[in-house]
Amino acid sequence: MFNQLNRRNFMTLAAGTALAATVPMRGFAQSTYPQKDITYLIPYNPGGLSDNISRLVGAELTKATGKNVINDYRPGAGGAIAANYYVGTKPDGYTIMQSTNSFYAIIPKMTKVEFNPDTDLTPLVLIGDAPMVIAAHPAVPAKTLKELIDYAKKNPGKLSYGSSGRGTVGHLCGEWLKAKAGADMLHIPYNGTPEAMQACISGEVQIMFGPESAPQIQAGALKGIAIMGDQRWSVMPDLPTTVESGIPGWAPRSWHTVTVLSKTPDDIKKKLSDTINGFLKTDEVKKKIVNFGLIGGIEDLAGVRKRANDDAAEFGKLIAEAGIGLK
Amino acid sequence: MLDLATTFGGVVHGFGVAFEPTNLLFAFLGCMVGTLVGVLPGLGPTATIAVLLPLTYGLPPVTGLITLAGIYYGAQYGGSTTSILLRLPGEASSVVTALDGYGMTKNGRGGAALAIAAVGSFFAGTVGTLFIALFGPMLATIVLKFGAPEYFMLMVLGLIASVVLARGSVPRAMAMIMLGLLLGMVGTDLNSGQYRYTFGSNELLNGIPFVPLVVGLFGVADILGALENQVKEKIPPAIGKITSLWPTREEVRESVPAAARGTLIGLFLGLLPGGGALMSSFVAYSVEKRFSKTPEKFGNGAPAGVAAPESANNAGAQTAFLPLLTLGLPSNAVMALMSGAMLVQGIVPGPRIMTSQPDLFWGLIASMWIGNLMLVIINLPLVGIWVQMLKIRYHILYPLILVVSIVGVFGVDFSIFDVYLTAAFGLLGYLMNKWRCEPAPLILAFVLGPMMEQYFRRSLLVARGDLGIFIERPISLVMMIITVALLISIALPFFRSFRKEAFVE
Repeated sequence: MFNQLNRRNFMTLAAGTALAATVPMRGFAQSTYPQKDITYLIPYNPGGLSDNISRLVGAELTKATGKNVINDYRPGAGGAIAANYYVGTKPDGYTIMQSTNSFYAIIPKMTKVEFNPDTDLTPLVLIGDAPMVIAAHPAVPAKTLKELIDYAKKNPGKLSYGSSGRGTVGHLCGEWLKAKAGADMLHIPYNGTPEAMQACISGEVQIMFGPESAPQIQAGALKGIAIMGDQRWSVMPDLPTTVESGIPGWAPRSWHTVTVLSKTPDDIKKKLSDTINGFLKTDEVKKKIVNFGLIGGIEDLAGVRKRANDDAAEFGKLIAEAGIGLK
Repeated sequence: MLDLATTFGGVVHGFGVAFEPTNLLFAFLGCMVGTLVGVLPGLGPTATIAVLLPLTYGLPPVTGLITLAGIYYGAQYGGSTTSILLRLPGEASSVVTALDGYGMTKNGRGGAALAIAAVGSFFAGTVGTLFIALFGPMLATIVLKFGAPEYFMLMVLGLIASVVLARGSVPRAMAMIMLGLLLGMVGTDLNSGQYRYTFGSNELLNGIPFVPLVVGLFGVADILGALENQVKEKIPPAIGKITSLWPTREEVRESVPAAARGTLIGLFLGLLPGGGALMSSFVAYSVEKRFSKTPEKFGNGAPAGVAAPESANNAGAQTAFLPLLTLGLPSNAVMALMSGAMLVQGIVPGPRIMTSQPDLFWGLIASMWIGNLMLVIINLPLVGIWVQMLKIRYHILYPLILVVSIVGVFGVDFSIFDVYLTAAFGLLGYLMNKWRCEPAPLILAFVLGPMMEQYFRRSLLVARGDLGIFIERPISLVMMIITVALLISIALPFFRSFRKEAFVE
């Protein structure tokens, strides 16, 4: 309970250290890494999904290594501030960063950054995919993706979609749908998901993308149209995927990972990746990942790198075609 | 619509949950911790809850959320203590409390101000809880009636009303509003992603942080001014001798109606996301000053100027829960943390939480009242202790205040840049005092400016560029009319006196 700290938590630091000392060493017993506490960089404000994930991963890492994992929050500029800071730290595996595929595929193309995701950052694991649900206001006369596209084509400029901000996966989902459907829709950026959700429920915008709409759909405040990609979601098993609805191939996706600097020694990368994958496979952690609204999955170092590269290529194409990238 | 039987049953059920000994204990602990941490400048409710969130993971969901809610009220309340005694508001919603709260402290009425704030908050909390229990689900739909144009007009109204905040001249207040708007422009543009006034600095990408601005303009500037007086006039700055700790009959008479009006304002504005708590305290204060028979007393220690904003921000703190509990939409940073805490417990916040988690819904509501009661019980005896602080001689007290403030500022983001900013704003605040410019309108504009811009541009996006959207929507239109009327009422006396002067010459 106490061994998960954030840097403001100077008051309970002593208590946490005392408690951690009593936790037996497991997993890393024969190895030299880690010798000291690990700093966990969180590129967002406390309280969000990334924070929840980091607290879970941090607590499990502490269990596995016997070392404290200390959260360091550096929110801002969609994560760019934390990542810029991160590339300046020592690549020794004692600073890890909570991240999403945006750090590899979107942020460097939309914001001025001081890192190259291909050479500076390495994703360690796949923690889970956030199912990007396409949700619509009940007044939109469409029940399926096909009907929605037809309606959008017949009424150019009438539909608008809300996102939690410019350059978020939600924004790019809309750009993707526009490109695939050849329909004209207006993007309205909001300041975070709750604001965008409120706008969609009240009808200020008609469409929204993301897992957060699930409870609203279940309560009838919004209607579910489809889920992006080729994976259905157990929370809403009846919702078809975009692939099933007639748009084959890659669709914008959002997944969570833990990142280290690429210059980190390979054995430390592998050890961290294996350890995290080790507890991601346990039923207890799996259940928590599902509670967070994610679809769990396991990838090794090569598999998760391929995911990052695929997304970088596809999002890159999408951003270039939409003309919204860094000029 | 109003199903009294269900509500009554719910409230009874809720008290059953909230009165369980464990829940009572954790509500108490939450309030206690919140109060103590909230007293430190810079550590507001958001930071406190973010730190203590993991402590609740091991608790049952209801107990965990009751604890967090306790911390929230406690920290909210603790913030006004430093505001009143040291002119050090820890967060936006206690900025206005500093105006008259510190004024009362200077007159030796610091204890009374703290007591008024505590009792006013309790009153507002009680009304707020009742209000939520009775009208909760209905009120939630009001939130949905507020689109971008309505928010925009509401903020324009708030900003114009803030001119009333200033004691001195209208042009000076306007100048401060403009300066606040400019400072608020710094950062990344939401719509286009362009950087504005960042001068290539990474630290400014997020805009100017709030705590350094407030601590600089209020706390540091005040110390600089006091020290200058000491050097120049050879008189040690002294805070008026503390007379009685309790409010006089006169102070009570002035505070009661102010607290009632403040509560009413807070109930509604608290529902709105973003600036709800801030707007409610500013608006409550402006209303009191505008309709007071003795507006000249405001700023120098008017009890109504403490009672109104403190009641308003506490009432707002209660109703801020409603969008989360009834729609699953967190309306501020603290509520977002609460929603995160629910997710960790496997509860998805959404429109169905009232029926699917009645323990949580009604238990939390009942605990709001219990939490507020505990705050009064904890804080009234503490009044005497806090006031003792003022007996410390100033040349010992001021370095302490400075150090604690700077630690607080540094603690928010662990950024040394923020400490430099605090120093710069301290200097600016000192100069503003010299020029007789008030910091309160600046701060309101600083917070509201960026939001106003967003809502304005969003309104135009929604309307596809048609400005008519502000007139076509009834709520927006009504607010526009009130704003214009207010502007005229501010401008008229100003022009009259101008013309008088012109005729004299």
